Amino acid sequence: MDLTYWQLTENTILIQWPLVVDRKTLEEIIKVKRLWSDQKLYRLRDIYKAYTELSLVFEGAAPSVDTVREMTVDYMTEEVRIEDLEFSNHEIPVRYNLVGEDMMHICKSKNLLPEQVVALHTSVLYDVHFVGFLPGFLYLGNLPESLHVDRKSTPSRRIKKGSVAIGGSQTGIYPMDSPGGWWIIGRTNKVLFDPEEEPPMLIREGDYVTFVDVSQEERL
Amino acid sequence: MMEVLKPGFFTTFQDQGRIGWLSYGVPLGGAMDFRSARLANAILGNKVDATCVEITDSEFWCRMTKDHSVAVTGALCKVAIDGENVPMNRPVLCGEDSVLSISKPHQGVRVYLGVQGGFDVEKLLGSSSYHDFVLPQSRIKKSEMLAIHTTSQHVEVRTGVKVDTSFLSTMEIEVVVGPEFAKLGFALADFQKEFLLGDNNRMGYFVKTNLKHNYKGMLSSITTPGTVQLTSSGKLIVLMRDAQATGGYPRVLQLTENAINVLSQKRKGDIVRFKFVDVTYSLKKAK
Repeated sequence: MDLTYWQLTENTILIQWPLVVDRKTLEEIIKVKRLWSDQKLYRLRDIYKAYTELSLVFEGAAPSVDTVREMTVDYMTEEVRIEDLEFSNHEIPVRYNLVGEDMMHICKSKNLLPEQVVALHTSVLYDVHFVGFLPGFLYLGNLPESLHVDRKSTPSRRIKKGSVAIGGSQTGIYPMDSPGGWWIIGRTNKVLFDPEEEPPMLIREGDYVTFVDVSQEERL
Repeated sequence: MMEVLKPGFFTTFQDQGRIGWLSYGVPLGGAMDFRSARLANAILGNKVDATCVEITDSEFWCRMTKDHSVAVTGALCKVAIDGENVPMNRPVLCGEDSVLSISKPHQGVRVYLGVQGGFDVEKLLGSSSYHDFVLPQSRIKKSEMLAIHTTSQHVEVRTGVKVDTSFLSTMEIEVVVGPEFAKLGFALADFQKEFLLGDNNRMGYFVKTNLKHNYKGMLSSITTPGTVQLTSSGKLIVLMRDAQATGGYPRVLQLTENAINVLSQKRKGDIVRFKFVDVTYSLKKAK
């Protein structure tokens, strides 16, 4: 596996994997992340990932890129105990909006019925790759290809908290009111992020998410 | 305490920001011109993470309910106690019932008001920095009473701090090349010229350029304060302290920590020029 290393700032070094979004890369980055978090040689201010990158933010000046490379190469070959890499599955109850404007747009452009959109959206186990964009905003992998749809050309000024949406090859949940360019297909009342709680969110990278259709159930 | 008489249009509490929460998607935040906020705390003998007030391009007046030592740093402005001018970048004692007035800055944009002991503001996720996504309140309002930590012992204030304000007038923004620079096909010279700053806020500065590109295949990637993204239509997005943790545009440049402070004192319509430095340059300079 050819990793590359990039010194981004005075105190930040990026470890970069090949640009492939899959479960294998995800678990590999999580493993390296844990080993970097556990090491005691250098103090980290923060450590966070994107699809194919891990960012090491050092307290003070970063060690040399060569040092980071050597340590990471060691970590890559290290066996991590299975129980340390156990991931949970989180169910997200969704009330799908079968008659909404955005749902109609997806149906029209993908030649699907609203019920088919729901069936497809609830059919897979999504990988949580990372959290970014907004506090608690999950970057999920595995959206069925038949639901991939270009983002809105003009983003909506305000998408409501709890909106479940599709944009490009991605699906996600807006954890708070925000502008956004994705198409809304439903709503959840599951709280994803609460800064008053410790920890502020329970869903972590590497976990699985499934969407469960509760449109028929009584309004909560 | 301090009673806010004139709050200004966008005044917030800021400290070092929320350290350690980027993997939850929580922006770092913290004082835009962190160097000036740190200076205010250093002058007053406060800890580096004491909370200051960040005033954005406007007037700020407040009344003291008891004696407080304060320091005003950052953008150049007129500071007065009961109408009597006092210097910036020095500890000044405001007596009980006195009114501290800070004018709209005549050079720079962001002014910092520090107080001995630091402002006593509730912390969430380790920081009292205001941020819409984290805290219900997003700015300091008129008539608000600002609580202040009491200092138990006598703290030595530093009167002899030498302050270099040349960072307020420079148009040079120190940068290094970003991870996607080489993939976009531009030369360093394409950035070593003058750029007109557009709209800006605590999340970023926007700059229109003619540097269009058709680089595709960018995945959402790591960003940090100072990361400069370039959209395909040629818009530069210079991420600032409230930057999101990840972004989907190519990262063409990266500002040094010092350059973030310099840029945070610029306004829409100002002209800047990027200056390429070695990535370890600002560290060497600091030693």
